[in-house]
Amino acid sequence: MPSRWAFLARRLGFYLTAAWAAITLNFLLPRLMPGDPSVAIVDQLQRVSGRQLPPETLVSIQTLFGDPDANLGEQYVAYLGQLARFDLGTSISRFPTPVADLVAAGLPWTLMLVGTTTVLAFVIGTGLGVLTGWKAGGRFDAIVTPASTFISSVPYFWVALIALWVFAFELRWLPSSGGYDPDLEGPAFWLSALRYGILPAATIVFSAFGGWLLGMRNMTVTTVREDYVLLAQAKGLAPSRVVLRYAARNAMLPSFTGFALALGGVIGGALLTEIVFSYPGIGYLLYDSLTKRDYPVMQGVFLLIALTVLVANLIADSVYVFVDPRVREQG
Amino acid sequence: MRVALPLGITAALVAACSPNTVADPDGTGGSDESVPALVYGNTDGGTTYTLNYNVYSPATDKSPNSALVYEPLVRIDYSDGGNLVPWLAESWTFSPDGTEVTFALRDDVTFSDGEPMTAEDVAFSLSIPLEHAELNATGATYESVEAVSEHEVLVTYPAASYSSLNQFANLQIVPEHIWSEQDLTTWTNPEPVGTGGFTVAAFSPQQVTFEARDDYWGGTFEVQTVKVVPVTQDTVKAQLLSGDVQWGTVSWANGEDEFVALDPEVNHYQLYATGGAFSAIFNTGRAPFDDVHVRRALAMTIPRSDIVATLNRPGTEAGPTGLVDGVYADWLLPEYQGLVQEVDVDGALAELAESGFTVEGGALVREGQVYNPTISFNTDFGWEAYADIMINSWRDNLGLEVTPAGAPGAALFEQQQTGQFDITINATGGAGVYGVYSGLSSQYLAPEGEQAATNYGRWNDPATDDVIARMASTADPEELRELGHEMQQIVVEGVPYSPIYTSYWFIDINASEWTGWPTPEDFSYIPSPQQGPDTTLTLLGLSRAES
Repeated sequence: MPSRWAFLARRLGFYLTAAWAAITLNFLLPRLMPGDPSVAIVDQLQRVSGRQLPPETLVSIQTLFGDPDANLGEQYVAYLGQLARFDLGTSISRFPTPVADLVAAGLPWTLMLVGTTTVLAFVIGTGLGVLTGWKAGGRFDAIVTPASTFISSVPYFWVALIALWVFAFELRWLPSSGGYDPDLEGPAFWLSALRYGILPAATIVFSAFGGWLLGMRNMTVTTVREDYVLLAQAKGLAPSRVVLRYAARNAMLPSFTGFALALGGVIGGALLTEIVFSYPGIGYLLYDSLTKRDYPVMQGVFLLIALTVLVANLIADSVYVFVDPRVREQG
Repeated sequence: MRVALPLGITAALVAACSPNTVADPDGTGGSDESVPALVYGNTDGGTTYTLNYNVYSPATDKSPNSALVYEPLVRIDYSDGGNLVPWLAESWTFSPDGTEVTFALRDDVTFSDGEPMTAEDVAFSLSIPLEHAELNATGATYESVEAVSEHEVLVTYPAASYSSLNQFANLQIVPEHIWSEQDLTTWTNPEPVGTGGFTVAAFSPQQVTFEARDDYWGGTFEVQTVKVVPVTQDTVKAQLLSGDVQWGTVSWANGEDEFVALDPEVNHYQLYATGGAFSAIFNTGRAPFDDVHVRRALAMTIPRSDIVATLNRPGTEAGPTGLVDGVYADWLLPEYQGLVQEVDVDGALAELAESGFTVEGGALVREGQVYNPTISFNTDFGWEAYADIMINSWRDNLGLEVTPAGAPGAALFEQQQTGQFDITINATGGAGVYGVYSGLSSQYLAPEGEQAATNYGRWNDPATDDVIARMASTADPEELRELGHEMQQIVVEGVPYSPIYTSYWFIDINASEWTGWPTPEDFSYIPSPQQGPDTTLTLLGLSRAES
C-alpha cells in the first residue's frame, strides 16, 4: 500500500512542476511575441471608423491595459497575484469585460456538450469494440467495423451540415442554431437547452465513436487469444463474465489512457460544432480571440486548457494505479 | 403566409405536430402576441454577444444594433451621392470663414426615459471624443463644442471645414443626465437610454430583443419587436428560406436562383452600391510605381470583367475615377459614366515603352536596377483567385511576373499602413465626393515604415492637395462639383489607384411577415439592419403583410 501513495506523491510533484511551467510560459509567450495589442486595438478602431486617430489615443489605450514598459519581473509577480485571485485580466476586443466572465459564460456550455459527448462516444465505441473484437470475423464485426471506419473518416463539418440540413431544415424536428431558446425562463429554458443540444451532441458522438470502436476491437482481438482468457473459458465461466472481467478489462487499458486525454481536451471545445450550430461555447471564444489578437482572452483559455490536460493526465495516471497492478509494482 | 415552396410545406406539416419554437418565431416574445417579431440574423461572426451599449467604448466588439437606440445629428444619404441630410439636427450653417458650424436641433426629440434632448446633451456627447482620447474612435477633427441656446450647438474647427461634416453621422447623441455620472471608459451601459425608436427589452448572449417606443419623434412603428440573433452565413440562408429569419446582410452568390426564384413575391436579394470600390493601390512612394507609366500599364491590363464574372456579379466593373456609378451618377464626368475599362494590351505596352523600364525575365529593369513587384491582398476574403487573374494577365500581356503576397486581414492592414507593399488590394471610397478623395491628401503622408491612417499609396501631388483644400473650404455645391471633376481627371491620369469592382451592401429579405421594403430601383434609404438612421427609416416603412 505505501508504495502506491509514494508513487502518487511523485506523480503529483511532477504535475505541479508542469503546471508551473505552463503558467510561466503562458505569461512569457505573448510578451515575447512581436506586435503590440494596443496597436491592434487602434488598428481595429481605425478600420471601423476609416479615420486617422490622434497619437494620444494609442497612449490612452496602452494605459488602459497596463504599462508596457514595466519590468518583466514585476509583471510576473503581478500576474501570479492575479491568477491567485482567478483574475484573468480584461478582454481587449470586448473591453471592459473581464476574461473570467467570458470564460465563465462559455465554459458550462462546452463542458456539458463536449463532456457528455466524449463520455458517450467512449462508452458506445468501447462497448461495440468489445462485441466486435470478441467475435472478430463474425457477421456483426463484418458490418459494424467497416461502417464505423467509414463514418469516422467522414469530415466532421460535413456530417454536421448534413444533419443540420436534414433534421433542422427538411424535417424541422430540431432547432438549427443557438444553444437555447432565449425567450424562455426556468425549467422550460433548461428543456430548450437540452433540445438545442441534441443535434450538436449527436453529430459529435456519431463522428467520434468509430475511433474508440476500432482501438477497442483490435485490443480485444489480441486479448481473447491470451492464455488466461482460454483458461477462464476452460473453467466454464459464464461468457459474459469472461468477456467483461477477463478480456475487456485488460484490453481497455490503452483506450482508458486515450479517454483521459480526450477529457483533457474537452475545454478546447468543439470549434466546428460551435461554428456550424452557433453554439455559445468556449471554442469560438478562443478562435475569435486568435483572429483579433485578444491576448488576455487567448492566455486565459490556453491556461485553462493546459491545466485541464494536466489534471486529466493526473487522474488517468492515478486511476491507472488502481486499475492496473503492474504500474505500481514497477514504481 | 408561410413561404410557399416544397421545403416550407414539409416544414409546416412537421412543425404542426411538434412543439418547435424555432419553426415558429412568431409564437414567443414581444409585447403583443398578435404582432410577429422581425428577426435579424446577424452574421458578423460571433456565436454570442457581450453586453456593452456604451457607444463610445474603446471595445471593438460591442452589443449589436446600438443604432436603434442612439442616433446621430445627420444621416448620409446613399441614394443621393452620399450627401448629408438632417436627422437629429434640423439644419446647419457655417460661419463665413468655414471654421464654425451651428447645428439647429429638432425641438421634439425625447430620450426613452422621457427627458427632452437639449443642446446641452448634444454638446456633452460631441465633447466625449475631445475630452477622452481613447474614446475618439471616429477621429473627430473639430476642437470645441458649445451649446449656444436651448436648441443650437456651435462646433469650432481649427481650419475651414465645409466638407468634414461626415463625422457627425457616426457620433451618437447620448443623455448627459445619465452619462455624466459614469466612467465612460469602463462603463458598459447595461440599460441604454437614447433618442432612437427602440429600447433594449431583453439581452441574452444569443439574442437581443428591441421593443419599439410609442413616443418616438420620427413616427410610429408597426414593427413592435426586433430580435437580433447570431447565425453563420450558411445557416442564415436556410433560415431566410424558411422565414425563421427575415432580415440578413449575407452575400449570396446564387441568391437569384437559390432564394429569389423560389418565391419572388416574398424573397428579396438586393445589392446597394456603397459608393466605394475594391481597388489596386500602387505604392507611389517607391520604384517602380513612382512612375505613372508603369501604373497606367498595369491598370490597363487588369481583367475587370473576368474578375466580376468569377465573383458572380457581372456588370459591377468599377470605372477609373474612384466614384461609383450607382451613387455618384450626378458627379461623374460624362465620359466616365458607365465606363467599363477593357484590357488594353497595346496601350499598356506603349505606356511601358514610355516609362523607360524594360521587362527582362519577368522583372522590371531600368538603369541596371531590377524590380520584382508583389501584390498583397487579404486572404481572409479568399482574394487569391482574383489576384491570380490579374497576375496571369500581367504575365501574358506584359511578360511581367508579379508575385502574390497574401496575408490575413490584420497583418495586411499593418503592411498597408506602413507602406510595405508594391501593389495592394483594398477598399477605396467614402461618403461624398470629398470623403472619397480626401484620403489622397499629402496631409496623411507618412514615410515608408511609419503608420499612415489613410493614403496608403503614399500619394504626394501638389495639384491633388490644392483641389482637396479648395473642396474643404467651399460651401457651394456647384464649385464642389467642378472640383470633383478635377479630381476625377487627376485619378484617371495619375492612377494613384485603379478601381476594379464596385462594392455593395448585400441585403436579404424574407417579406412573408413584413412588407414595404425599398428596392435598388426605388429607394431613399438603404434597407440594411446596420445603417444607423437608414435602419430606423426601414423599420418605420414596414407594415404587416396581408395574411
